[in-house]
Amino acid sequence: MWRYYIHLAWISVKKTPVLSMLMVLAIGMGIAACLTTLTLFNVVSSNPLAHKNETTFAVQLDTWASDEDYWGANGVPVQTTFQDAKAIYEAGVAEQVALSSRVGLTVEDSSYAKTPEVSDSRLVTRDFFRLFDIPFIYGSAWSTEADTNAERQTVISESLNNRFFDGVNSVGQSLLLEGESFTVAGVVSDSWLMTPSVYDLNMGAFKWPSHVYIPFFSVEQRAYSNWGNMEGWKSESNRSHQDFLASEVVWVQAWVELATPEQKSEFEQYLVNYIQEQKQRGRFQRPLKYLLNTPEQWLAINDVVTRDNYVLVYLSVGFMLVCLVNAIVLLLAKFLRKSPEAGLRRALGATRMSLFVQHLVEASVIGVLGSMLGLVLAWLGLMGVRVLYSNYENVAVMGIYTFVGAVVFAVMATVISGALPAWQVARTQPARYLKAQ
Amino acid sequence: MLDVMPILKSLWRSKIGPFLIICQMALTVAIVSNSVFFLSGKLETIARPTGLADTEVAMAKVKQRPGATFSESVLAEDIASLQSVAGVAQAAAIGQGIPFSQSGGTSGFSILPDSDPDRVNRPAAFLQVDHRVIDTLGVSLRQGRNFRAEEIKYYAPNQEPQSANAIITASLASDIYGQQDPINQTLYLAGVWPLTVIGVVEDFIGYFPHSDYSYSNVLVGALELSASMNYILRSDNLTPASVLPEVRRALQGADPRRIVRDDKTMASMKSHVYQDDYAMVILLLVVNAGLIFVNVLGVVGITTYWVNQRRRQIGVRRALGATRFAIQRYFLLENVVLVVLASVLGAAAAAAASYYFVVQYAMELLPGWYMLAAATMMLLVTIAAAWVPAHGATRVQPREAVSA
Repeated sequence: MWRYYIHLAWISVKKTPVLSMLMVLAIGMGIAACLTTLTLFNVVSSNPLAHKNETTFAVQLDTWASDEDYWGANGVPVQTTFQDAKAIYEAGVAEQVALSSRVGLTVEDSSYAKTPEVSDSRLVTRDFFRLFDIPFIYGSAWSTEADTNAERQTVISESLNNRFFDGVNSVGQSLLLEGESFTVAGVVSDSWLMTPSVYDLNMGAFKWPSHVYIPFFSVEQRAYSNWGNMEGWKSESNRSHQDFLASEVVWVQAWVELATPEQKSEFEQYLVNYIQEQKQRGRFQRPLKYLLNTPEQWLAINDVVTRDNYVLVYLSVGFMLVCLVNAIVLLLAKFLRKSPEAGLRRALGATRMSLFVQHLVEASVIGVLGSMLGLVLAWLGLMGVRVLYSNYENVAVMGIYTFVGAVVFAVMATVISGALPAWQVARTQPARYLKAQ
Repeated sequence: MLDVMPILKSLWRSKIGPFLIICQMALTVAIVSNSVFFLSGKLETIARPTGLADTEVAMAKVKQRPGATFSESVLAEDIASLQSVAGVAQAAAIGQGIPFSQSGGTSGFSILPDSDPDRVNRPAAFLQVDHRVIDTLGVSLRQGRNFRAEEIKYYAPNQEPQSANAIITASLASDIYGQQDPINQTLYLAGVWPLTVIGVVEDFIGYFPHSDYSYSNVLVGALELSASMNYILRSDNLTPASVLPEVRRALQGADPRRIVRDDKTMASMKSHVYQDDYAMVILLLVVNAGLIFVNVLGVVGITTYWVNQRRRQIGVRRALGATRFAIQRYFLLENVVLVVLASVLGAAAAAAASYYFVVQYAMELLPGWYMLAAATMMLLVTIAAAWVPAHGATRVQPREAVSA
């Protein structure tokens, strides 16, 4: 029976090739628009740390001016001062503390054989690598001692390793950073690309990972050129690098991992005590406030999903609706044109139900063809998106769930939209058409 | 016009088809009007005047070999070698805040120092510049004067000079000083650093064009002598892109450990800055074109169907003396009725959607004439689409009325 219906549907599709093609095209375009924008939205709104959302926290401390709120985000500085970051690290209450800040470092090989470059780099504590799941291809993160003593050790990216060490295992070799010799402790894989870059949402949430990592507290020995945001509220005249480190300028991103609720409350108690102690020293002039944000909250606070992203989703859903309504109208036109045929079949004993099913099958055939076209168009659409937004280059890729979901949704949508026309034609009164014949 | 009543009656009788096509057109009017409005806002941002000779300007960053820093003499040598490059008309040193670079500093500016409780801070971006920057960027002076070479304060990191001269943009001048003459007034950067205003320039776009105060800029006549410096240049008869390779060589000089990077034209920086806006405009245009296309499909389909359904009635009308034109007019008029009904519904939907966007995303309210324009566009497009099948109706022979 089903095969017969599908056969009938195919005959009917071929009978009006232009109309059928128009329907397939309309459905395909609607599905493609939806798929493209939803994929884009999916990328932008995803949380790459979802698997540790309950145990990882971005620390916010309200050190801002007594008479005004911090100007952006949720009214609390999104970065911390160096002194507070250091205190959190040294207290050792949180098991893992990832402090980091983006800098630019001159990279040279020790024999000056390669062209030097200024690389996107980060000052990090060793926990940064574990907290953000960065995979190593050679070696590992430096030791805790290297962290606290700010030893001259470095972790580099795979591509920098390719450029300066021709891709061989460079662990133990030395590299000149800002003219000083650092020993390579590890090489991290280029496959690590967090989108959005939760660990650093300053200046765009879609950035390439850094190429060089050095111990965070190296900054106590000398100044590096900061490539991140530095924000201050206090009129301080910092006449030296040490003044700067002791200032109220916020420029450090602080994350902690707290595996259990007990650890979390312990850390919170520590922060309360710390802030109260600092208040006595004249700092933290605002009402006591700190926030431990999960990655999900952090992405929301930093407005990673923009107005444009929402507008695009609304737009494509609207477009999809128009395409579906259009498909219903065209199916209606096509089916009602076949009313005499339907009338004849009714007269020969076909039930309303079987006519309904037959036409629904025909609608589904159109729907399946439209979905297939839609997937092809969406694939082209995503290629276009990658051209348009260079920062989504690697990420605007359709996931398997989006793909399966889209196919199921598309076929369901067309079957549902086929129901109304199929029902209309199933109601055909046989007498009326028999008379006319 | 006499056909309108019978059209309405027949639409009412067939109900479902006309209702759906009206819904489809209404949705389209709502979507097109809102997205064209949104898109025009983006285009306005992209196309607004920059106040700069942005098609003639290029930049490069230089970092000294590790351990070395810039000095006044190194700066002078670099500028001289830049000016010797064929095609380079002007060159200048800029510490931070290059327009369109998306990297720079923003601070609060006020006429009162930090100690004064009445101080009002105006946010503005600041550029650290030498005396050649204004001419090199192509910014035009409105009032006062440019910096003199000897006035530029060169200082080591963390050793900001006690005072410096500044030139501000016209927007900021009127924000801070109103009708007052800003020349020779004191302006406090972050409440502590007193600057003397020596000139006012026409508005130009600062380092972060998407900021709400992108036209509020302060050029400070001071340069920090650290390990890094940025140079900008203005080309004359050659395009800025074509002089870049030679600029790179000139700045590289004899030291292989010196690093010249980020050499690029301001035009490319500008298109990078607006990349997401361009992408959005293109996506919106593609989807809207798709929408209109789908509507054309719908109208062609439904009109063809209606013509076929009414072949006998058309035959009867023709037999009773209706002209071919009258037949075609009937179908076109039917389409007009549909579009008018759809436009009313669509305008309501558009207004509702726009209101939602205003509340949710703080956008501007959709002006009425965008809806009118979308409805008119819809009318023209659908009349064109209905034309072919409606013309087909005129070929129905009167005898078809009797042959069945």
